[in-house]
Amino acid sequence: MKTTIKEENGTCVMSFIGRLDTSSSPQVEKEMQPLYDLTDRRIILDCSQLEYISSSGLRLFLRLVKNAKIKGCTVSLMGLSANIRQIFDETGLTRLFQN
Amino acid sequence: MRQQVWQKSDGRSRKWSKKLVRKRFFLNFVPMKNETIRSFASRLTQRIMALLLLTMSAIAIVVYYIVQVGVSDEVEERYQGTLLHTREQLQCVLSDVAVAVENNLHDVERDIDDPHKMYEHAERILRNNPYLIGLGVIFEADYYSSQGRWYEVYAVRDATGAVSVTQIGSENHDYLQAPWFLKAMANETGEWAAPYFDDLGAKQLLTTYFSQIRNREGRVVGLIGADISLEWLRKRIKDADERNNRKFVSNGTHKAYSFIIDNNSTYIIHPDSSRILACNFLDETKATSDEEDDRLAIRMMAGEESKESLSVGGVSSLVFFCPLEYVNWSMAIVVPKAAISRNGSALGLLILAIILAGLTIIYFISRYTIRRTSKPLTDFAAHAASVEKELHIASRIQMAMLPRVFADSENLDIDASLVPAREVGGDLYDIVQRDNQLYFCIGDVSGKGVPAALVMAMAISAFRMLIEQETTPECIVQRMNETMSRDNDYCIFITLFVGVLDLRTGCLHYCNAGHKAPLFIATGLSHPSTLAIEANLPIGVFPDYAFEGQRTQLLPGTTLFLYTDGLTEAENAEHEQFGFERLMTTLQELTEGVNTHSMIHHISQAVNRFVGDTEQSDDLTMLALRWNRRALILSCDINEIPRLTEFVTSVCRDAGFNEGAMQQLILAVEEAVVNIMNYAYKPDAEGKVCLTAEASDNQITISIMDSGLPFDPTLAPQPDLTIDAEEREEGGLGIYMIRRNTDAMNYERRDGYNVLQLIKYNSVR
Repeated sequence: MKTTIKEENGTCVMSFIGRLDTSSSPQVEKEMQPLYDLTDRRIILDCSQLEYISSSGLRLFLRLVKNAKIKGCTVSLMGLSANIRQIFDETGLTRLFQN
Repeated sequence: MRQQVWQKSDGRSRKWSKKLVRKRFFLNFVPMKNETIRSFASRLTQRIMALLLLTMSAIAIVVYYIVQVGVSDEVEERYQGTLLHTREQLQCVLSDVAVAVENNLHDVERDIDDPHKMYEHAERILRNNPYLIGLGVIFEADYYSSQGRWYEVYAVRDATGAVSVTQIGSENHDYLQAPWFLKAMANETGEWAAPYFDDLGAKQLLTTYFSQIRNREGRVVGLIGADISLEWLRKRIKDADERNNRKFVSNGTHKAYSFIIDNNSTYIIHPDSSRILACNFLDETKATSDEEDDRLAIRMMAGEESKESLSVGGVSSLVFFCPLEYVNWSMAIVVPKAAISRNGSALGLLILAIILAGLTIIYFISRYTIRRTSKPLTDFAAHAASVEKELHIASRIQMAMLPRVFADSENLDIDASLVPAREVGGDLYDIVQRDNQLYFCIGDVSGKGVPAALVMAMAISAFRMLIEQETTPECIVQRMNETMSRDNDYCIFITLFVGVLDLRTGCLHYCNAGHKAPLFIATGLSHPSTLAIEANLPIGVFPDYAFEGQRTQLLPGTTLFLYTDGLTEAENAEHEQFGFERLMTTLQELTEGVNTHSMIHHISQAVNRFVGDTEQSDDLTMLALRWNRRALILSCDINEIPRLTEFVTSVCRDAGFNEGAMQQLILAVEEAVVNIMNYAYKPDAEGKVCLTAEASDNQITISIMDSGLPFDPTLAPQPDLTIDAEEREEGGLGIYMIRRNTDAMNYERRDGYNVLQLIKYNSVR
């Protein structure tokens, strides 16, 4: 599992490459830490290369969304594969992200 | 998955198969019942006869030797006796003649002056002595001037016995110059003259006793000559020889003979009459190169009495000899040694023949008697053989009742072995697979042999029938108990263990009816444990007894080992039992993952080594099964998740699942496992999570097991997906996701385990 964070015109894009399962989530959680400190910014989670996500991963996303709301940030998802989208849809999480 | 009973290659089975071979061999002879009887009787008879023959042979040899020596001695004595008897007789005759002449000499000398009186004297002496054939009173020349120059009055007995007396002296019979007359007058030849042939009269061998007649002045003036014939002596000796030869000498061999020589060793009596007075024994012996006979001749002439062993004319002989007194002769009997020993040999052979004939009679009598008296025994043996044959067939039938192919599942490694102590036994086992359920049982009928075997057959068929109708082991046992208790007058009971194993889940449902607790060896553990069992009653006694079933969860790789008490109670020569401890030790010797066939083989060998040559006392049955699911065991560490992913991936790939379905299943499994990892165990507890997978027909079943706190995820509430992010709980999604990504989810709390079963079809939901 690899992640990258890029800043582009006030927008922060975090890309996820590989499998976000329970074993990789603690590491990803640390790598997401910079996003928690942002205020009034747009955050895009690039999932185009995310192969797999389990509930641990979803939990990280959910926490990010909760925190963003407080800090006045918007979080949107990008490049979801059908499989991943289905997971987000089924868990009702899709609605929590900005389009 | 082979049946072990017929294929084992350890020591006991060798013994077993040897037994079989021997029995088959024996059975081949059963139809020839009379043959068996005959051969038994004959064998016994032959043995007795051999012993008798040996003993009798030894006796016969001794008897032969004794008889030989005894008879030879007797023959020798007989010849000796003949010799002595002849001598006595001859001496008696000679003595009689001498006495007769000497007694009458006085009368003759008294009447010496009257020549005519000599007629009377001559006639009287002759008449009174039957041995004499002639008697002469002979005077010197011109003794009686009135009678002329010669005067010899000679009395003679003719063939009719009449005695005539004549004066025979004349010019034609001029005795005055005859050597015998001159010698007798000078008394040079002793009292007996040398034998001579009577040319004139009887043409026979004569000898004459001379006594001198003296006148009143004491001068020798004449002789009394008493002629005796030696013909009787010759005849007597000839008769004796013939008699002895008839008795002791067979035809064709050298005969014994007697001869007499005088003091010059001239033959007087000899079977070859041409030699008489014509040949000389000493001369003859000197003519031979042998010196032994020379010495014999000299000894005989010297008047010795003895017996001598020497070769006569090339024949090894014994020569008995003794002197004849008065006449200075010597008599000898020559006996070939063969003649002496022949009778001994003949008698010995006769005794041998009698012994042999006796033995032959004994042989027939004893054979008949033995055959008659052993008939009940041989009948019994034949009967036993036929029972044996039937038992052997029964054994084959019983063995055929046991399953040969145990189960057809890649998740199962199973093997069994049953070795009856006798031809048939009361142990039983059975293994039947129906779909994903493996029904198995092991049992031990009380008692041994045929009664137990009958009950065993009944039990095994009851089991086969009931597994078609019942699904739980307690119901099977219950129904078997009812069946077996019915009319069980002999109260034969059966200890029984019935198990039903779900081959997909490893769930073991079992019911124990008084049987020994099976052992199980869990994966990764070398130490076997005892399966917890309810102490139910054995079946067959109380039809109304309620049996309780039990359940347990087998972890993949767990081996279950069932056995009958023939294993732990196998005894060695010291009556020590193999015992539970030894069994546990033996099980621990096994390397992990060894298959059940090797396992049973190893235990069999250990028991055989322990028991040695001691006869097996009880039926010995073992059944080992290992549930071998595709499995993964994880410790409670989220870093184990990639292994989980790998496991589920490979299961799905092998089952040909599409990518989407695979990802969903991985997700569901991960969620379930992470839940367990996070919540099932107390912190610091070394918990494990076990996954097993089974793929079939477009479907994968993953079972997830843990021994943590009981938790049924199927009862977890649905999370509210509609609420906003701020209000939502971070947890609770996992179970929802499991549900969403699988087609079925079942939970069971089983024997201390949470067992969660996830079923996924090959389609994306």
